[in-house]
Amino acid sequence: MKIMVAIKRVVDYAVKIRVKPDKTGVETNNVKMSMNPFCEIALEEALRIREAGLASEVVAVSMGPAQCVDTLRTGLAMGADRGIHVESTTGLNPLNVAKIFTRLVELEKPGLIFLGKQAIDDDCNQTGQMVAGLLRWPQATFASKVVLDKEKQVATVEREVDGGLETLSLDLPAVITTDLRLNQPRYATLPNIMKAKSKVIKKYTPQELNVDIRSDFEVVQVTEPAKRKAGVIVSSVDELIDKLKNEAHAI
Amino acid sequence: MPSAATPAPCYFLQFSFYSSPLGLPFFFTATTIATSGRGGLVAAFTGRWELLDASCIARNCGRAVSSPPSLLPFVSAPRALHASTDTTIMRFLFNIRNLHSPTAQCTSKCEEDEKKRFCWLRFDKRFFGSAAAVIERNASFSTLNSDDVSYFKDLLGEKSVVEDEDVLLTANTDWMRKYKGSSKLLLQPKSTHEVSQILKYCNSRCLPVVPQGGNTGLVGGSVPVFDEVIINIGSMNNIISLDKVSGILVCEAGCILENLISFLDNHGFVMPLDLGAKGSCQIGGNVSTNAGGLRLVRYGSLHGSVLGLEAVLANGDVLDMLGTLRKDNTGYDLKQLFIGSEGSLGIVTKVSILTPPKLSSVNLAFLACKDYFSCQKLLVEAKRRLGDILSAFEFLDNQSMDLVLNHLEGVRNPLPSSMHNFYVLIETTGSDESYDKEKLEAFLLRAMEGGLISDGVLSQDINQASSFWRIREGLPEALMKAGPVYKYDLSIPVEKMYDLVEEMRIRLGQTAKVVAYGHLGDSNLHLNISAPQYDDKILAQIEPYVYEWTSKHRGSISAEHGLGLMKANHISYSKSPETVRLMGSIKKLLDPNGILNPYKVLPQSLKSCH
Repeated sequence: MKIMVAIKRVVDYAVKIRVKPDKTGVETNNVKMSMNPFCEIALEEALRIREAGLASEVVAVSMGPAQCVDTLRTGLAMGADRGIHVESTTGLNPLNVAKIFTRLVELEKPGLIFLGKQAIDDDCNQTGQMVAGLLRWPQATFASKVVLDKEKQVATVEREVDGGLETLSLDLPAVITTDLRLNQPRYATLPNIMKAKSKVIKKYTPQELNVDIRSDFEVVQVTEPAKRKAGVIVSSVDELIDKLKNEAHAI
Repeated sequence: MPSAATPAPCYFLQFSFYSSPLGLPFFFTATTIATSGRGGLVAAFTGRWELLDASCIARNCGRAVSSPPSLLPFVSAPRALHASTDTTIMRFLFNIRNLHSPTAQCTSKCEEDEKKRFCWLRFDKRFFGSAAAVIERNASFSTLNSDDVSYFKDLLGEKSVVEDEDVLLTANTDWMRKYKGSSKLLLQPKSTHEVSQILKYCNSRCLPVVPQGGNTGLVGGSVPVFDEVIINIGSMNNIISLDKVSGILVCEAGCILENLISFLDNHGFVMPLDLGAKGSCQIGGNVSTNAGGLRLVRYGSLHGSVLGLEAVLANGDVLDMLGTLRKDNTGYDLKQLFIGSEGSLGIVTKVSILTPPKLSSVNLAFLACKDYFSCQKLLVEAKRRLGDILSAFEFLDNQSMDLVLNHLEGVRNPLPSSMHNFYVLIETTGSDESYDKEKLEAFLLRAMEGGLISDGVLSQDINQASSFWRIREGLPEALMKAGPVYKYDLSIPVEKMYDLVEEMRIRLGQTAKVVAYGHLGDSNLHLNISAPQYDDKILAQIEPYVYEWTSKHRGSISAEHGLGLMKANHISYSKSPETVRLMGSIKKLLDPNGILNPYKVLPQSLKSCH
């Protein structure tokens, strides 16, 4: 069985986000970019399944500008067998990504798909669900534990819900999106980084895959959240009550 | 008689609660015990408990405490020095056990027969700074009186004159909890003028002072030895200017290093120094101690990057040397005297410092080497092939790695497949991400093929980089958690450096654990000896051997920590008698009454020639 994993190149988790002065988006020039942490977890899970002998190949897919190849190299250094890069200079929204991914699934015919539950840049949390919808495959989102039964072709997925854990059983092929507690991704070791250099990354464009990447929505403005005002130290209980009554109108 | 002059032991009780007895971080204030001495102990075990949250604990104990299970509060009883104290403490511990069911567990360092009873508690008997035991208070100094206090209150305002025992306890104790003074007064000046007025007054009264920044020093330089007035510069924390073309930052001495780092980050610059204590240490203290740190290999020492400073002399004179010029050859470069003199010649109040531009591409490799020789060869290769982008070259041995993995939470071994003898961190900082990465990878590949590296990982994002740094930067903290530690900070030629470590292991055998790490790029070894308890027998095995060995190899007994109180009498291992005498003359010239940070930096024997 082949596993496909989507990995996204995003502004590094530890970077302080700055909004562009013209409010069209966030600053990405000269900013450290890394693999989306949830995607790292997705890839790690796929690798563990392959290492357990339950899958034969892990294919990592990334979409976006040319530098996505760096992110794919990281994925290959972690242990993915090969990469697919769908190059697009225009921005891709979750539906575009899901459509392109669906086309790749038709070409690659994987038995299981892993995606991060969301990307930390736009926080959409839509792509996995859309891919499952377009493919009409069963889906388990926010997975915190995945167990595969190769014989029965069934995946058992635990997910953290408000009241505790929910356990789902899915027939393969299926789509699984990964949550933070599923695993701890491995580091890229030097020998694996070297091996990754000779691994194949296949390139496509959305046009070659016959996907129209029109956007059906428009970003009007991106602004920073309002800054929190500094607190004041009151000198007496009376003053506090006065402020609560007359300034905050809380009592 | 102040306690530090008495060669009697003080007690540090260290509790580890693996789960909180009341479901809360559980605790009693250090001051309840400490301030009331033996009476406090009685009071504490008859039920005066206080529940404090982690922030209170940090405030009271002067160190960050994470939530349980790693809660490690200290309780000290500085004046309970009678022979009966041992019994009192035993009884006290026993009562805690009875009050709260033994939900916690910890190793015990008591007598064997007591072990079972106190199996969940441990306490270490520590001697506050062995050096302090032989130092006597300088008789020519006056003692603080109420007129002095009112003078300071008039000068600085009530709020900046602190007599609160909680605050004083923290300010009197060093970060290692090894040195402790008994100062009754802490002053918090807000301007150079105020510092000048304070010193002028103290000088006329012959009142000794100790300048204090973040109090993160490791050699007892930042805390009083006896009753010196503490002058804390922390309220002077304004950033005065940043020249965005040249990158020259001018700020007050009390700015916390990490705040400067983040301020500069927003403007595209970095501080030329970075060290583990950045969250507490202040730039004035960094300059006064000539702190080294992790990036010295790239940006050089503060003697180069500090362009100017303002300092106040003992008599209150303000020396304005706050230049912002890179080149200035007019007469003697006096500012250099204040860099690294540990506040013994004057108090640094403002600093101008050259900050390099922030480069966007940072890569970090965590590598394993099979022997020390490979680490050395790797350093030579790294300097040769990565010279333009190399920004840190650190090493640690496998005992260090063990210690971090065992004592710090959330740290994972980046190379878990097998245990290696040495680990090396190589950081590069440059301006082109893909170029730098390619260069580093090519270098590492070569080194691996050449057998210099046996394994390694390369950080793929900032998070991974921080977790690699955590291993190296967390070492002092891990050592503290492991128990009593003798710390040495030595400059030794790289090829000889690890010989000392191996010799120490042979000397000490099973009695103590020898842990070595450091800034290999700067030939700076941090030799740490982690012992089950502070023990004069162990100390005698270490000192003066370590100093003699270092001296023999023309090393320095203090690479970056300074001399402080710990090594003041050992200066001659690294400096000739003529040099030390000249230092003494300079000290006498600038501070004739010797009120600035007394008993430190220079040996006591010099005092006789005053």
